[in-house]
Formats: sequence, C-alpha cells, structure tokens
Amino acid sequence: MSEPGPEPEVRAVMDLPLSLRQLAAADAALPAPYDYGEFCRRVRVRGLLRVRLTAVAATLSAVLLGAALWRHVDVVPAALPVPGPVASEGSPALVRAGHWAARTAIEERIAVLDAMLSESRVSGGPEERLRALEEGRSTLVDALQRVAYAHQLVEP
Amino acid sequence: MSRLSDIQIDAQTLARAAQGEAAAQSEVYQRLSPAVFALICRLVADRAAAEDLFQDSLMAVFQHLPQFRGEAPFGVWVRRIATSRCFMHLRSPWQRARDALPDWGAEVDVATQMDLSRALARLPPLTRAVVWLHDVEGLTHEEIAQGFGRSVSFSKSQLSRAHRVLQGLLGIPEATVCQSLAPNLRSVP
Repeated sequence: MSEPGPEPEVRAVMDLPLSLRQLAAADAALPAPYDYGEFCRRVRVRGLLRVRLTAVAATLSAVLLGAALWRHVDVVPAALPVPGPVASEGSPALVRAGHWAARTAIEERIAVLDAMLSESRVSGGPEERLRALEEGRSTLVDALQRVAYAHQLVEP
Repeated sequence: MSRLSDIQIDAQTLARAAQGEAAAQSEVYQRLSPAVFALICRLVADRAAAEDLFQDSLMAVFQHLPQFRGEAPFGVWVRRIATSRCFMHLRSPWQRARDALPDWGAEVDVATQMDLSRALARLPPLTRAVVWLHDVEGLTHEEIAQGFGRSVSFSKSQLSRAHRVLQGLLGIPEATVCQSLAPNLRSVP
C-alpha cells in the first residue's frame, strides 16, 4: 500500500522563491525588445547625441565664460568710426569704457612722458628721442580725447 | 534553467566578438538579449527605463568584452554589468523619491487572488529588486546591500517585507510561510 498523500492544501503549496525562479524561467522565453540591427542603430544615435551634447555644452560654457568676462572687463577697444575733430582713420577707439579708470591711466602715462620730456630737454638728449617722446605724448592726448568722446556717446 | 547567469557562450565566439566581428556580436546579442531584458524588466518596471538600461548594459558588455578574462562564467559577468546599471537607476534620487513605501495595510486585500507576476509588479521598485535579486538571481544580502549602498539589514528587512506582502497579495495564510499557494500562481508574466 502506498502512503497517503499530503492534504490537498499542502499538495498545492510550493516554495515562494521557487515560484519566483519558475517565473524567471518563463521570462527568459520572452523576446528581446529589438534585434541586433536596431541595437546597432541605437548605438550610432547615442554616439551622435553625445557629440551634439558635447558641442552644446562647449558652446554654453563659452557663452557663460564670455558673459563673466564681459562683466569684469569693460574696456574693449574696437574700430569705431568716431566722427568729429578727434577721429582719425584706422585709430583705435573706445566704445565702452570704464571712463574714469581709462582716463586716469592715460593721464598718468602722459605725466610720465612730460617728466621724461623735461629731463630730455634739460639734459639735451638726442633729437630722435625727444621727437619720439613728443609723438607718444600726442598719441596719448588724442586717446584721452577719444575716451571722453566715447563716454559721451555711451552715457550722454 | 535559462537564467542569465546560466548562459554560456563559447570562448571562440566571445573572442571574435571582442575583436568587433559583427557576426559574432550578433550571435552574442541574440543569446544574451532576452535574459538581460527580462532581468532588467523585473528590476525596473518602467518599460522605457528598462529599454534604456538594456541598451546601456549591452553597449557596456561589448565595450568591455576585451577585458573579460573568463574567470567568472560569462552570464554572471553580464549579470553584474546589468544589475550595476539597475542599481544606479534605482539609487537615483528621483527613483528613491518614487520609492516611498505605501501603506501596506490599506493595499493588501487578503481576498484578492492575483498571480505572482502581478503581485510582484505591485511591490515598490526597491523591494521588488531585492526579492528578485535574492530569490531568483541568488545574490547574497551583502551583495545587494553593496549594490544599493545600504546596510545588510536593509536588504534583509526588504526581503522579509516583500515575502510578507507577496503572501498577503496572493492570499497565503501567515502560517504557510515559505509554502505559497500554488493553483492561482500562474508563471506567466
């Protein structure tokens, strides 16, 4: 005689982890979401996307860096055709100036040249040196006028 | 068994795939992809996220194939790559915010008869991942804890909670712990 089997409820029970593993076995019969060709296509798309994202990130960084510099450096020389008696062809002009800082720097430089000119005249230095100093001073005076004019244009 | 960790591919095919030979890579893909996708789908219920992680995982497999030294079975190596990506996904702040545990007392209706697959789907992502990795993939609590960046007790408590909730969802009495009711378990996803 064979032994009596377990109660119906007990026969019907199974280990929960075992049930999960059976579920996993059934899962493995499922197909992949797409085939190898589609996989390769997505690899290429991701590569392109990465390149574009890198380019966008680089552009954004450059813009942000430019904006940061723009806030700190406010004296930008540019070829602005400045009308009026102080404008001359091809000379640099100031289109946006930290007016007082630029003016002070030029005036200081002119003062240095004045001192050198005085010394040169007193000591009777070479004519070429005297002429070079005078030309330099003249350029600086011209620049000083341009700064004043540009300032008037920007902040009338 | 057709678990990912049981999949084996001959060394010659792997070597050719590692060298970038398309035919060999296609063969490796065909062998791996169903199991990799099934595993990821079980860990990450969201279909779109699962496809992204699947793509990431297989790209990483082919990228790192030249470094595979054959010390561990190939399927186990692939499983490690796939699960590490799932861990990263599940550990993300966005995912963790979604993973707030619901009030189980309100959710569980003992009278509700569900199949195991649907019951699993009702678990929170983290809890589902823990129970799947432990009970199906055979990862230890230490490995799971390391993957999630949590403690071993976290893994154990999540597993215990998952078993309790699954039993509740399946209408299994508390007394039959580890002896789940079978007839209404359909092993169909």
